[in-house]
Amino acid sequence: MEDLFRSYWWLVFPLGWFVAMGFSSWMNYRRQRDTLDLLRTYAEKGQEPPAELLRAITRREEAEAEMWGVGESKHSSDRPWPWQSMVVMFAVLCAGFTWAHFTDLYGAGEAFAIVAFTMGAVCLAFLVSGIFGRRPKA
Amino acid sequence: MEEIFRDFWWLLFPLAFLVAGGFNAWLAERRRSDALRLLAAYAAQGKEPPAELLRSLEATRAEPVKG
Repeated sequence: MEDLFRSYWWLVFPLGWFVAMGFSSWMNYRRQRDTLDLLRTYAEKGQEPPAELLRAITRREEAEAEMWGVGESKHSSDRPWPWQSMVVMFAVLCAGFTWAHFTDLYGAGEAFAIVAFTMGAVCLAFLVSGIFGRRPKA
Repeated sequence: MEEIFRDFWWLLFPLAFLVAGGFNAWLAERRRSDALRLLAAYAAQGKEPPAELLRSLEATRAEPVKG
């Protein structure tokens, strides 16, 4: 077991990221549910809710969508989409893991080939998406 | 068991994405039902629901209807 941990300790980081994102999503959901509960109280009393409270509903939806990189946020079309930097980053990662594969770094050359292939695929996906997909407004 | 893990550790990633996708879908469903309950409260009062509420419902919709 200790040997297994020594070999795969780094898995703690990506899996920890998944857990943290899940927890953050859950917290976002709870905040939004509380906001809706408060709105319901206003609605049942026949009162007009504050404008800031109403804005909080859509703001949290956007924050959640941006966190997971899905959906269309209100501001996403206003910001330039930095696909070029993502292409460069994944290209460099791909090159690094390719080098690790060919030099059989840590004696794990085969595993690095899979990672290099994945990084290359993500790089190409960003490139295609950046060129043919949604473009930032000029 | 340890041997299986060593051979298939990479499966953790696609599985984690599947779990995350399922978890997000579940949260989106709960959001929709919460928003719909609030809409029902507005409807019961005979009042017009706020535009932000309708927008949030649209944002959590699985497949946007165009046109």
